[in-house]
Amino acid sequence: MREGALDRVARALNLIPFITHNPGLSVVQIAERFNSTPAQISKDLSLLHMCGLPGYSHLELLDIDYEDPDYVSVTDAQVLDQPRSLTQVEALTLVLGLQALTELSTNPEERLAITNLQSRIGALYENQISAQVTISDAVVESPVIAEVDSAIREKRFISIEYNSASSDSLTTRTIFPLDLFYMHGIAYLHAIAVAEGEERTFRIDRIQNCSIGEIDSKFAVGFTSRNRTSDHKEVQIEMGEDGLFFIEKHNEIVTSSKEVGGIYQITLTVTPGEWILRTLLAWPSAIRVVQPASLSQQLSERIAGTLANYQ
Amino acid sequence: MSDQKTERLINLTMALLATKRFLSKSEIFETVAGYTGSLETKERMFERDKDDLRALGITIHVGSHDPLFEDELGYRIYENEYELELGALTPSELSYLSLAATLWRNQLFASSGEQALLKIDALAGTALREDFGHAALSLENETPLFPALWEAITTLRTIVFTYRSRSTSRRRLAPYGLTLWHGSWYLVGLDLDKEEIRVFRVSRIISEIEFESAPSAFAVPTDFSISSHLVMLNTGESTTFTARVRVGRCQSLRAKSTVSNIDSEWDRIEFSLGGNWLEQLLWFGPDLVLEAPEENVTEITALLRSKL
Repeated sequence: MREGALDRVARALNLIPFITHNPGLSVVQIAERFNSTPAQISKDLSLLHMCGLPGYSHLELLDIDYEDPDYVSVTDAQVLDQPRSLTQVEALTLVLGLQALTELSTNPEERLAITNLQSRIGALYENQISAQVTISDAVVESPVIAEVDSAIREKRFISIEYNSASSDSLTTRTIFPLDLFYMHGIAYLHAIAVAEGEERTFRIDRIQNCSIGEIDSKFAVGFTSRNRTSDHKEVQIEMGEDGLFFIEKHNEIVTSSKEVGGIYQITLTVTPGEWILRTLLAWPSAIRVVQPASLSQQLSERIAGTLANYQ
Repeated sequence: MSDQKTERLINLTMALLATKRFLSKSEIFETVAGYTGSLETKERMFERDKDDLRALGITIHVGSHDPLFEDELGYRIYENEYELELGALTPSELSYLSLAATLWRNQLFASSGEQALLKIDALAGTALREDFGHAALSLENETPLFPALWEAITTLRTIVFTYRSRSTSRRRLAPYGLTLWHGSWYLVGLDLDKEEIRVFRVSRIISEIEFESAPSAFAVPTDFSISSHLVMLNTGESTTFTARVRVGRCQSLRAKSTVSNIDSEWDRIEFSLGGNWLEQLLWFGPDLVLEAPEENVTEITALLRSKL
């Protein structure tokens, strides 16, 4: 892929302060950080080696040591020793990221430090950013998040009591936590479920108890999830005008949709089972399952069974 | 771009950054390496180079180096504008910044976060960062319209877009702000036709964002705050419910209920839920039978009949 004409200049201007403050990295490591190739970085360095201030004697040129590709350093950065200022979007990314961190932090001192940092960056842009773009929700508070967090850092197993929504059951299991992620305002944990030998996702707010186990710094190294046979099935449903909101809410399983005369025809790709059945049952308006017929029947039975309790 | 041009742009940046006064064009042509050819060629080169540096976000100031003779203009880049200046940062502050830069998964913020992180690491080096929790946490959200909205908000331009809710309509808006809530962006602004502050979910905007006015077309009221307009933050009144639930079932509801046993098959629970109670209760299907309040029982059975 050809890089944009100015990308190379931008990278070159960022390379000098980066190497100045991170001496001793290899060309390969630098290339990784700059999303580039070692060959390209080597070319950049030899080009930069020819640049400098008017006069262009050895006193004015950038002095870069890259003879040994395993140890690159800058001896004289001239006027380029400091990184360039943040673009507005970069500053916004940091300000919003810091805002999310304050939401996650449980320690008041830490919160204060992060808020201060946020206003220092905001001040570079006259605080416009933080007034105009905000994060309005916190991660669902969970008493176990601190434990999960330290287990990830220390590479420890944890034993959890997990409340599975789709099966409506409470199970105890040992997992090896990998990372946390935050989606639609909810915190999730990626982990290896030890008994199943598979990577699974757990909702943090459904972990009812968490106890810390042994350290195993190598457990996740080279772990490959047992091949799950793809059991995804296509489901077609029809519903009225709030189909729009169904699509929005379940965006990640919707594969196609169209609206004909106020009726939404929606195709989903899901794992058959309790989750989709309960999702369709709980939706606060009528949904017709076009196919598969088995799901249509299960849903009718579930609705009738629920209604029967009231008669 | 040729090596010569890249080299010349870097030399020019360094020269304009190093100078303590405005450098005139002739000084630049004489001293900065890379300007060759006829005067006309050099002039053309320089004009393009200035445009290129500006495209990279570098501000070049134009002024006179002699206040008495303003006929010859000069050029320079101010250090304090070119450089990132955050003052001294502690190791934990560096860690917070690097985390803030890497939280993102969507393309726009992930790549700007990566760029920001390179700059932060060029402030002090990675070695100083403290190991800190939440190490692999990501925010997830979609942002294709974000750059246009962001521009409209920061430059105070009014916009027009097509919005799809229960009906589809064109909206004219003085955009005041954006907020991320539950992984989706919401746009808050003054609806110019309805003359009211309204909230729009960005994912329901089905057109491009068209700029209607020139910049600085409106002022955001000084007392405006995004959060006071977010209807979705108002979860509404919560209601206290009584229900029968099958023994051993409805786990997540039990966790927030008072439970009493009825017989070997059923327990009775009492709990509070907000606006989305119907969905929460229907999730349990025949394992839950709502008993009170009466009007909610009527509503749940009417909905079930309509779903049959």
